[in-house]
Amino acid sequence: MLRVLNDPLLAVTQGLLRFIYMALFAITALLAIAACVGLLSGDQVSQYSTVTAAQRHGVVLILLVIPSLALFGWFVRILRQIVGTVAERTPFIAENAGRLARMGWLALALKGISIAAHWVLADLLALNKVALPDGGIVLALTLFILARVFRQGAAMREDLEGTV
Amino acid sequence: MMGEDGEHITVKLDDLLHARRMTLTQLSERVGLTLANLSILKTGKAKAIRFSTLEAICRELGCQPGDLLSYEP
Repeated sequence: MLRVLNDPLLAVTQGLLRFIYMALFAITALLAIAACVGLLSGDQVSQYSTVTAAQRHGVVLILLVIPSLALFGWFVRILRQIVGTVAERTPFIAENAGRLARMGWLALALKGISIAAHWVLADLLALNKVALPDGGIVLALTLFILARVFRQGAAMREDLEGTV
Repeated sequence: MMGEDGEHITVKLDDLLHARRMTLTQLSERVGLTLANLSILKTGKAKAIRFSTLEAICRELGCQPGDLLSYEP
């Protein structure tokens, strides 16, 4: 704990990640409740009137936003675990290599959801369906490479531990 | 110490200490290594040995590296 307080970067990062994680948790829970309520009331409405295309797209968007928030929360949770090992000064462990690889897969899944959300929005607003490239794929690739770096680092650390 | 092919490098630190009537604690104080690290070396659990460690042990025990290590195919 004292080590974290002596390192402002670590302290700020851990505090910020804790806040983001809690905020994501709360927002995801609220959206899930809102979606459930909306879907139930939507069922009642649909008995009397026709559901518009915009309403259908809205429901699809909410159904895409909730899992993406949950996945991002999972991403932040793993990042917090890695930052925790940095605070403990033991970042080069095999667990962190696995964590980084999991973060890479999560980044890919988030990218997939964002493409789907873009299609829904483009359909709704009659825009071009071609998604502009962003950093999602590059982030995933970076995380996969970092996972390899950490795996190598963990092996080197293990070797060093056996050196007298 | 076990190599990749299952070959063995045996550390004969115990024999050398016994011959010189010296304890591992005394040696650790003289060479400036921790007792834990010397214990790892003595029990053959070390994966590598630094030249500086080898030099300090040989200096304090008055021996050659070959007296400390032996190879068993």
